[in-house]
Amino acid sequence: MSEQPRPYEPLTSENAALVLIDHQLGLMTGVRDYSTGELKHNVVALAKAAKALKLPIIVTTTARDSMWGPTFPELVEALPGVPIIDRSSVNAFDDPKVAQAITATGRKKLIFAGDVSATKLIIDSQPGSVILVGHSYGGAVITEAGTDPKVAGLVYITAFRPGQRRVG
Amino acid sequence: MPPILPPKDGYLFLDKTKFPDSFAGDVDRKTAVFMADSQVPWGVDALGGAITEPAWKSKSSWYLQVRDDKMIPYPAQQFMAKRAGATVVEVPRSHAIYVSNPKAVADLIEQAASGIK
Repeated sequence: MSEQPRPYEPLTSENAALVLIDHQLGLMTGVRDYSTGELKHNVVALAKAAKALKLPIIVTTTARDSMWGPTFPELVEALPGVPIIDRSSVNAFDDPKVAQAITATGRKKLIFAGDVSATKLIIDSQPGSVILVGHSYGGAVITEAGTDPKVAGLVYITAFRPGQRRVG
Repeated sequence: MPPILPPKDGYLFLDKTKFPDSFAGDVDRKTAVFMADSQVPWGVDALGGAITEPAWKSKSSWYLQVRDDKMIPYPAQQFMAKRAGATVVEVPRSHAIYVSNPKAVADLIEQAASGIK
């Protein structure tokens, strides 16, 4: 608690940037808590609002050409000329290109919207230690995400438990 | 063998007609058919996906081995559970254990949580 308390700064169009993670066709089907139509509508609205406010916008995808497919067209259309940074790592924060792009905006207030990196975001947002549970292919996901210092244990439910380099 | 169909546009699906028996043989038919229809496609390249540093090398782990699983065969589960010395619990039933016997899954998570201070 030695850190100096900093006065609260609200989000403004001068201090914030928007980071959109993995809004890809192949990942839409994994969204179960609400409809994909609603998801697209919300993300496109967020992107358009950010554009209207002239916020820097970073867009990134995971394994676009080999696995999860392109960013959905409605979002690409809403953001003409915005480059899309493709990654091979699941965790967007581990990718130097994404990190550089965010740093280059000079903005300290970051607004995130994404899904695959959700595991890491959820770990980060927990007050204490977490246990990750993976079923089937999910075992590969927790094997990768589980090195986070906050992860205290891994529970595999009839799951893949890959070693280094290759799954299976 | 899991009834995986030949890849289409780089994605894999399980044969819907075989899904209920091979993935969810112990789940009521109506639910199993729904699971077959609502399955999420799987990228071909996910099978060869790279792991940078396997978390199980540094973290405690637990493994629920499911004996009658037709998706990940029991011997493969045993191999993967043993490789890093997980605490193993074993139950009968299918790959859809989280639907057919959620208590077994929840119990193992509780065991893991109480084993970690």
